[in-house]
Amino acid sequence: MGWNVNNEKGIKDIKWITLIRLRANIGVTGNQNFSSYSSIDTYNYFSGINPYGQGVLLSTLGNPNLEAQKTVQTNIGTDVALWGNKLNFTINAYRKKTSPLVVAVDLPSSTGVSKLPLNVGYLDTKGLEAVVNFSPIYKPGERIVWTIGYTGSIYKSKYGNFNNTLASLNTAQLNSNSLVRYQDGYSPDDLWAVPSKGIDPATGREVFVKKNGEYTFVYDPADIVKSGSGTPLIEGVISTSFTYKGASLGIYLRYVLGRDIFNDVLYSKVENISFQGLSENQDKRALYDRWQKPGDNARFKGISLTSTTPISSRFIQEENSLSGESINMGYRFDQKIWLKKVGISSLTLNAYMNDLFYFSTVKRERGIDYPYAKSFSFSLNASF
Amino acid sequence: MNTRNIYIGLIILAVFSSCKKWLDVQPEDRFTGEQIFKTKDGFATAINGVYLDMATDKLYGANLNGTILEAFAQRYNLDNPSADFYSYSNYDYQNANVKATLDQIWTGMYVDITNVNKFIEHLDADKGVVLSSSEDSLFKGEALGLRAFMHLDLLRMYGPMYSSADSTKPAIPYSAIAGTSYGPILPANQVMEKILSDLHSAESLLAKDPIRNGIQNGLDISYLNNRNQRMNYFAVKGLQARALLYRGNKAAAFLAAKAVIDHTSLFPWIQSTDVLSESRNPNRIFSSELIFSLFSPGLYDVQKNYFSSDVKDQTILAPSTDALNDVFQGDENDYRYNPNWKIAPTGKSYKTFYKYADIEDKSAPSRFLVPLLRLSEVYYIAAESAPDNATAFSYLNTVRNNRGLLDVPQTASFSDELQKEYTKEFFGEGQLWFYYKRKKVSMIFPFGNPYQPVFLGAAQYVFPLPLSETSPR
Repeated sequence: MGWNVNNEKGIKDIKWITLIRLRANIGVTGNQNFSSYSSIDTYNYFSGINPYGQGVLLSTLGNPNLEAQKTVQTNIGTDVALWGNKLNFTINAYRKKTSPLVVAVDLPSSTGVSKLPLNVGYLDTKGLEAVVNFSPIYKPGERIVWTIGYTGSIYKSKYGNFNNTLASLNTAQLNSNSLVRYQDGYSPDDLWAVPSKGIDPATGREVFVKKNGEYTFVYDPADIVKSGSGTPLIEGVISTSFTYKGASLGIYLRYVLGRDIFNDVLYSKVENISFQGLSENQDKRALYDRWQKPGDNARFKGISLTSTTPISSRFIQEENSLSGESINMGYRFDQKIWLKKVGISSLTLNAYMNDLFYFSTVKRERGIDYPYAKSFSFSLNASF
Repeated sequence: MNTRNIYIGLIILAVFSSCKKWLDVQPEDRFTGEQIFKTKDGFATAINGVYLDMATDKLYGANLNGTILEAFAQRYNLDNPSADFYSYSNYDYQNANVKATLDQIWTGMYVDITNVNKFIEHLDADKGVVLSSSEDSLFKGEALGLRAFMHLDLLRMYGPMYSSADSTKPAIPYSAIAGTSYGPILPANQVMEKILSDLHSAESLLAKDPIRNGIQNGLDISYLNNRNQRMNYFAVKGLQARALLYRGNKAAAFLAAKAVIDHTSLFPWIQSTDVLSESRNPNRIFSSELIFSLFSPGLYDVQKNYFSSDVKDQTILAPSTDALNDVFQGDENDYRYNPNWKIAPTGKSYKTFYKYADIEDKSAPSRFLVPLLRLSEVYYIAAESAPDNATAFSYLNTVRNNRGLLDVPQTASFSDELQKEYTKEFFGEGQLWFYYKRKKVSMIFPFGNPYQPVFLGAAQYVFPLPLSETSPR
């Protein structure tokens, strides 16, 4: 439902208020980001035969008590336009509650299943979004407009009600380390790892911090705690667009502040180099930044240590980034005499550049697992 | 007008609420448990899935057969640190490849065990609707036997070194219910108890196993054919003997072994004409003697990938020539020597392993078989657990005679002679590693560099539990 405040008796006459609208809505949706057949056992044929014929094997073990997830979303917001659209902004506050959650619980491999979906708890997400557009030069009549835009979005997700639901589960599952991540008050974007104090200058080995605060060289999955949050402090787009008669220019930059990420490159290229990989070229940080002799204050562990490095907080870094999402420019020829001679009533030329650059406080190699594209395109539009 | 709409609405509502089944969608790309276990064929296909999966490379097709377990037992020349299997022969349990393989074996076995448990669950739920009671007993006996078989091998790999008294060190979890509630990691003696209890039930369920009257072929009902390629009555007895001897209970092991030996005619000894003098189709795995084997469609690929003379030096699994001479003491009469070890016309200049190489006659029934339990092992168990020396040597010599060898006199050292026999008999079958672990052999000479002995203890014999098991606990 919405309420156009600007149409109300007192406000209608205020010249510089063009639009003030308050709105609120509420909705319920289902959700399905897990396999459709989670509540029944399913089998698959084995891809070979023996003298007895074919064989079938379990492909998923079902949980017959599984309930589908439901999300209730409530939203309130306001749209305001002032001075006939010279300044307009929209603010939205929303809250999404998903209950009951379907969570894939890690089970020990001796159960024959690696993850099992269970109904536990709820996920509560609260967020605030704002879109502001301000036009310092606003002459739509003469087709000269310059607008600066800003959008920002903040959100916070929290799990809840796990402890109550979990009380009814088998105590073994309650202590299951995989449910460590689903505790009341934590967020699905949280990053979990064993906290690390860095590399010991005397031996080149990594020093971990146990749950009780002790320092140790031994990695123990039981010491895993929340080591960062993938939820950014704020993210959004800064934009500017300028139109002068037929020419237009738009620049859109995306910013993300305060997000923690797991630096995969450091993990797999500087440490964890496989034995077979030794015969190939390696990241030079593997030689220069790894520990070589006692007394070295190195960021990475001893070069002679070849055992696998487990995931620790050393590889979780905070990222602030700014990327050039889109730049476009164009020109529109409208009702020109020399065009009319050829029978064209209007001609538009546009150039677009997407994903131009990516500045970030975290150094890593992008595009290895998932390619990204810097694209440049040009379009020509003619109407007759 | 409005009331008419209300009536129409009510009728539509009534129709749809009684059509709940209409909304029941069956998955199109796979089968549900209900669909599979509606027919006898479905049950047979479900248990066959387990046999097929056990015969894959990750389990008995390669890892637990000719490759990993044999590498641990120092059967191959793996001196060079760049050899693919070097980390295994070095017992480097922190190496990423070794960890991954041990995890794969663990997970693979337990997936098959879970399938067996689900199978048993459906058998119990059936109550005579799809299967008759004799069919039910046969299938259930097979299933319990398989569960015990796999748990025993898991115990022998990941469990502690057993003493003559029951070991109480923590070993492996025993999975008896398919599902999400899981039990603790049990101490070895409790695991052993459960294994033996499963075998005991399997034995009585398989009492009417047709194999007791002979191994048949060509019957209409496929799972009644070739019973020795499935868990059968004698496989259960042989397994009991193996488990009881592993536990140190010699008297009971002897009795269980005798139950098989008394029917030795069902598993006829191989003749030299089928092996030594047969050059085109030698029966190198002595298929007539197999009490329990698996049909592995990928067997000849394993041969090509790891044993063939064309395999590159870094990957090939072959012992040094000196070591081979040492093992067989140059006795060319031994059925296990020349037929299995030849210098190929192209490739390596030394003898390579031919046991799992294909033969010319593509219709031979011995093709694609992976040996899991042999008649000879049962004889060895009987010999080792025999009440007196004379009986012990008589069983040992029976096997030797059926391998083209002469008797050993009773004055010889029994345990030395037995170990020599194990070494020759089970090349490429993985059983030697378990023998060493059971006898707590502390020093062995690798078949690569015979002058540098390898010392073994709990740090080498006990595989660490994989992270996929310990992290979620």
